[in-house]
Amino acid sequence: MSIESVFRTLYDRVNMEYGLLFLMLISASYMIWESFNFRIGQAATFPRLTAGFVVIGTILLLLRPILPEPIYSFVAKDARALDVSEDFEEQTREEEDIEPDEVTSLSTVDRPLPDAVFTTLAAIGYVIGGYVAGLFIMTPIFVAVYTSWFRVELWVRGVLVAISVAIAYAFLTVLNVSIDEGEFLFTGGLL
Amino acid sequence: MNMVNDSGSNSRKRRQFLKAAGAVSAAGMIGLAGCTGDDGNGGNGGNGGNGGNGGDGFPEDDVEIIVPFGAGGGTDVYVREFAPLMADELGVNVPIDNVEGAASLRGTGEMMLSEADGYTLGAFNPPSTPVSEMVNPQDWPLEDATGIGLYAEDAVVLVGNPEYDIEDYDDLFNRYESGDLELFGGLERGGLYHVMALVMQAEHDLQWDSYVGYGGTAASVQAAISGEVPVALSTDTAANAAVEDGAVDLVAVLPSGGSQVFADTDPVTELGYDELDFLVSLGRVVAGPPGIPDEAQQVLEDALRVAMESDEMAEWAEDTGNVIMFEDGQEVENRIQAAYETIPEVVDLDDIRDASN
Amino acid sequence: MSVIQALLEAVALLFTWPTMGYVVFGVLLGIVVGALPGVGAALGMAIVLPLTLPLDPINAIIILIGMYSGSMYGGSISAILVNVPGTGGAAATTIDGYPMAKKGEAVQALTISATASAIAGLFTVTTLILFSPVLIEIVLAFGSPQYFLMAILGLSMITLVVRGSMIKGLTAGAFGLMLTTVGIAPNSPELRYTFGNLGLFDGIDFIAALIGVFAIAEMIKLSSKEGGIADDRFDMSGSALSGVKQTLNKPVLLLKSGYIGMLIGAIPGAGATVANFFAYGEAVRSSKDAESFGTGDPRGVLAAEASNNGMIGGSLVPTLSFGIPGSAATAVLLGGLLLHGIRPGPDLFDAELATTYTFLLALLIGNVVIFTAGISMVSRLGIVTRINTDYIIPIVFVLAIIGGFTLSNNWIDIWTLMVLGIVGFFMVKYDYSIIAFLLGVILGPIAEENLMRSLQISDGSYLIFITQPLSLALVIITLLVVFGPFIGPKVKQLID
Repeated sequence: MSIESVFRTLYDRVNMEYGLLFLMLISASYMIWESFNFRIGQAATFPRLTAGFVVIGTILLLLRPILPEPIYSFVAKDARALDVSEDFEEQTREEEDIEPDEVTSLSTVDRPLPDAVFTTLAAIGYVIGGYVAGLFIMTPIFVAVYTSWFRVELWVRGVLVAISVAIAYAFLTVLNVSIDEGEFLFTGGLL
Repeated sequence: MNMVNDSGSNSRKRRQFLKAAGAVSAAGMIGLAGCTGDDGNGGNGGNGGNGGNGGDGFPEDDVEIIVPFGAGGGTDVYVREFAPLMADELGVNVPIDNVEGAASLRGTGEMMLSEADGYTLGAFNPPSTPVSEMVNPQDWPLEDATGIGLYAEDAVVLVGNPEYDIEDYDDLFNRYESGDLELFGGLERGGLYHVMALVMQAEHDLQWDSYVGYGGTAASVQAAISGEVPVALSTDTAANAAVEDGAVDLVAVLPSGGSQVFADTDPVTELGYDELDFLVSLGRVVAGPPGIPDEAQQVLEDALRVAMESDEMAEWAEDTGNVIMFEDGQEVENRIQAAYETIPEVVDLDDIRDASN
Repeated sequence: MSVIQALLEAVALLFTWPTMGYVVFGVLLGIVVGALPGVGAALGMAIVLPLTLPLDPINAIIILIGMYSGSMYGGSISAILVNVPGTGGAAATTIDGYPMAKKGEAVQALTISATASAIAGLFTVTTLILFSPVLIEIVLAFGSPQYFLMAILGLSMITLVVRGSMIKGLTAGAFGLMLTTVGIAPNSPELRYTFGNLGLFDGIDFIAALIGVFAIAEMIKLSSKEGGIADDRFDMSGSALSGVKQTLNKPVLLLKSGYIGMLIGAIPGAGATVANFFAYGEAVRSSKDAESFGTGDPRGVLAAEASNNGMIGGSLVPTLSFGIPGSAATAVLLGGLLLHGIRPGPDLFDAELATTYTFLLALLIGNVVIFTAGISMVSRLGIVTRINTDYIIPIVFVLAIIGGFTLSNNWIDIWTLMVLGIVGFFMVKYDYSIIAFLLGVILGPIAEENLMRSLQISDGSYLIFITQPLSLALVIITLLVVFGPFIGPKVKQLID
């Protein structure tokens, strides 16, 4: 089983919307819990209010499939659409939207990872590398890796790497942003 | 690590170049000065100085000043003005790094945790930054910072909404005592101005009922203009325009030395109130991490002194109405230490952290 | 000094060489810094500030004001072309601007942006020249309770912009609001959810959030697309001329949006992003076919871009009259004024009126520059949407991430940008309104801070929010926005 098909299976089985909702639910619950440790009561009002709203909203959305009818319509459908036929249209449109798309699609460049997954990982790698060794040094590396993965013509790769270095250098010198310093490597600055 | 070494040698080369440039242009310095750009990142021959301290001594590399506030803010404007003049004097570049946030604790922390070799300095404002640190204790000892010099001072003043017609501090005192007034405006709770308000309550027996905090001196003045609060704390410079126009009344000048902006108004100490200068006189200082060697400290202090006493700075101060001065590194350390010793004595910091009034 | 005399003096000051050159230079530079994510007006102006020292005060300030104005237009360029709002003031521009680019209408969108920016700028600045004293009164009518109510009015717009499930939209909005409670609490020294990290003291940077949910999320999505951003199925239709025509055909929307921007700009603390969303929300509310917004409706670009340039003139009023900067950019401008010895104060609207008029006239000329540059040069950038996305994506990542770091040298901003980029990707995918989320992120701090402060002033009484006429009016408008769509038809039925 190729990596790609693993992703596809994973993606089909795990609806990422639940991932998103659980992320919101867990962070909101944490924020409410933590707010009881505040020394100043006033400062807890707003976090509890907003996080409480998130908790209610996410729970309603998570329980959508088992909600009884009137509440189901309220949660799942366009609250403004009072007309029934419109409701129906809306619903079918939404269902169409949830077709498998980008993430499950084949890699457009015949690589073992779906495009969106690779792009995300590459960007995360760029940021982590930048944190460790400075964004300046990581910039051309990121561009080179990214363009190589997507099989960009060699000369274009060269041009893009050059552009990225020029951008980074401009930020470094004109704006005096210390992107040549990493947190672990080159802590004193590369240039 | 090779790269770092390379960078060091580059800097040395640059310094030699700058020295040479300095020697050539030394005669023309006076004419040229003031026209130099100061983006602070080299690449600008105009920053070349006279390399007055030649030889093997300090400094051999760029001296960075961390400004713990945003670019274009009050502190930043000063530092951008004197940094190139210090660079001229030191013979190296003096780049500025804005590391803003966390009530100046981020940038000040970065400075405090840097190597104590004199190559990293910070520009912060006692007692404001020390108060932030006392309320949110950090694991670096700000009270041990190495002082380089004090370059400006702001006086804290009280302004009042004209409709309340508050004559002076005595009148304000009576109006709070009688319950005629209740609110007292200033900057964010948990910061320096809130501490001031609490100390005025405790030491001057100024019986305000509720402290209302705003996002900056300008917002605080605006609240007094619109009458949302009857009186508000601000710096003299920030209140100047509104007072001149009559949009607010100047109620009190707090430091015993008075205010350069409102030179005609007697400070509250003249009315017999206790002196609170450790709080209400805001210094703007340059300092470094604890333990900078004396030699380096001396070189830096001298460079700042020369910069602040230069004709260019005097002219700039004249043109712009900004107040400049110079006090040595010892004075900076005294002020920081005074803040750390006195403030916990007069206010309970735990009360500030829990403050609800 | 009479108004006419001041105006004549200002004209004489402005229409000289090199002063006119500085106007053009400032605006063009502003367009460039505005288009760079993370740089924007405030930082760009701060960098240029010390370089203006050798210039005389008027010229120096003209450069800064020109940059401020140019950057508002510049922000829309990257917003339209690659879904990266260059400045906070272009956040709402992306909502319809980028879908237009995807439909092959990038040139049109860029032209609408330039035209709307310029015309709204012209009208609002002219209004200011005539009525600035009135505006000062409006500024002062707004206190903490009114700021809070404005924030709530803004949040109520969530109900206008959400498509599909309202619960999803409201949850997204609440999630945005919730994230703003990270950091030191407004008006109290309580540290919330900072895990002892100084980088989190000031909470989530909303520009980082904007770059994340727009740029990063879109780049992730785009990476699996072949060809350019513009869909191959569409021709590169739409010329610069048609964009101008479309803008001129909507004079009411254009002026309304510009003046909304001007009023919000005059209220310190709100700024370009809020103006942008308010004007956009109003455009959606007042339209008969709200569904087309978000799918590349030119009216969305028009309203958003008219508002942010209208905002500029408004924001100069509190800055020049009381030295109260309403935004980061005007704070730098204030620094520039002080650096050059121009003391802000009501004098600038009295004895020194000529100076103020010179700045305002420079803004007027600046709008002409924006229009000319926009039509002649920037609209050609539409070609970017035809370039293979494999070339565009890595460069946008580099700009977004380095730009994010530039915001305040804070790694937290980069983590914010990445995490919200990935979260934003899934929010878009599952129809959780990004706009609702951003309204929460932007208005949360304004709402909380002013709520807390108002309650301090009123000693805990909520009556403070309805006892003044202005407050009451804001409450009623908010109720109308939220319940109008339900009540409106019923009322109509009753009347019929």
